[in-house]
Amino acid sequence: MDRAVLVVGSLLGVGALLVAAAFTRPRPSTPREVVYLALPLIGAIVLAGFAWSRV
Amino acid sequence: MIFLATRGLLVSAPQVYPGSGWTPGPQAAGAGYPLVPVTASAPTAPSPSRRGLVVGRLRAWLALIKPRIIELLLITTVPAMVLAARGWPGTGLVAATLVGGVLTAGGANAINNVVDRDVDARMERTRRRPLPTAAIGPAEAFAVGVVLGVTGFFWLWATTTLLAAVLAIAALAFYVVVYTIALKRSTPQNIVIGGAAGAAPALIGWAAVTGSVALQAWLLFAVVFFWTPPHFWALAIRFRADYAAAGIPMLPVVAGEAETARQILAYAVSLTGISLLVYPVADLGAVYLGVAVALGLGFVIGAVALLHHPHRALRVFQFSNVYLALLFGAVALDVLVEAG
Repeated sequence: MDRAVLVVGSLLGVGALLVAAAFTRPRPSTPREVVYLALPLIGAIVLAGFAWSRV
Repeated sequence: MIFLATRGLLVSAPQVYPGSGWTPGPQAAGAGYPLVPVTASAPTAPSPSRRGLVVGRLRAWLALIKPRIIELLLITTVPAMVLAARGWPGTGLVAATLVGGVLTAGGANAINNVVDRDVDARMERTRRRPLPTAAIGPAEAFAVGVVLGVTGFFWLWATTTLLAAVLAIAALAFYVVVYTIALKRSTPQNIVIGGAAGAAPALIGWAAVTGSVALQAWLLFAVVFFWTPPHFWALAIRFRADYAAAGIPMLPVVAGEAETARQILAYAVSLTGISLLVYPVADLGAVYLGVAVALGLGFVIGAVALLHHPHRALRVFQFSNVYLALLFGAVALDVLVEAG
């Protein structure tokens, strides 16, 4: 059960942000805006990675 | 952190009286919103009593710290403490942590009022705050903010742990410097990054109990962090014109309602996923899992509906309030039920 929830949680948590970042309109026009867009995604990936390492 | 302040104004927002010759009085930011005639002059107005002046000033101070934000502290801090302790951490410790949280968050809000007083005066939603109404001056408001913040830091240090105190004062600094000064007026991602300040109470609660911050605490932090954008963007759709008039580049102003609705949906899905990760990592039970799945479905369904019906933004905003309260309530309930 834990593994199943991990899979679903990771896919939803990271996948949705990936899609959102890919299709954001208007596109970020400066490197700073790209960083702002990437930060939550990186955070979600790091958290999911730690979650997998702990369960 | 932001939503409860704005929610408070939504719930109790005073009426506007355009062209009526009446305007909210100096205590408009507090309860009651007394009306005074615009043309009232000092010689004909009765002199306020000393007690009235003191009460008015206290009301202004209370409004300055945005007391509705205390609700968010309660919602996120206490369940984090319960999870950290794997049971009730003790009423004294909970009370001490909440007092410290209220002091530092109140200090952050007071300073935020000072920095944003020009914008607040231009927005219908915020123009009745103490600084735009001149119920209190910027120097006094800043002093109140600094005193509250410093007091909160030392209070938390003395009654809980140094880490909790450091996290609280860091959240204050982040909220004022990163969110209010650096991001709010410069990027539509303002509340995405700035949301970290509002998510800090989960870390503070955990640190108050353990003196450290574990992965479970970071996941609770992430829940609030990923909850903040869809919550506040829904509100920003509703008040899009207000933000545009004030020159704040909120996402609905910059990218439109349709794009904002898509981003709300993406964050609602992501939030649901992050909330599910809490279950195995924090070793929670069926109570939490069931609530997280049900609330996540509800949030996603609401976000999908918003794609086609932008006028439902306020409903999504209100649901997001319920979402956070019930999800964190489920964390505490699950632990307390298990602890027996």
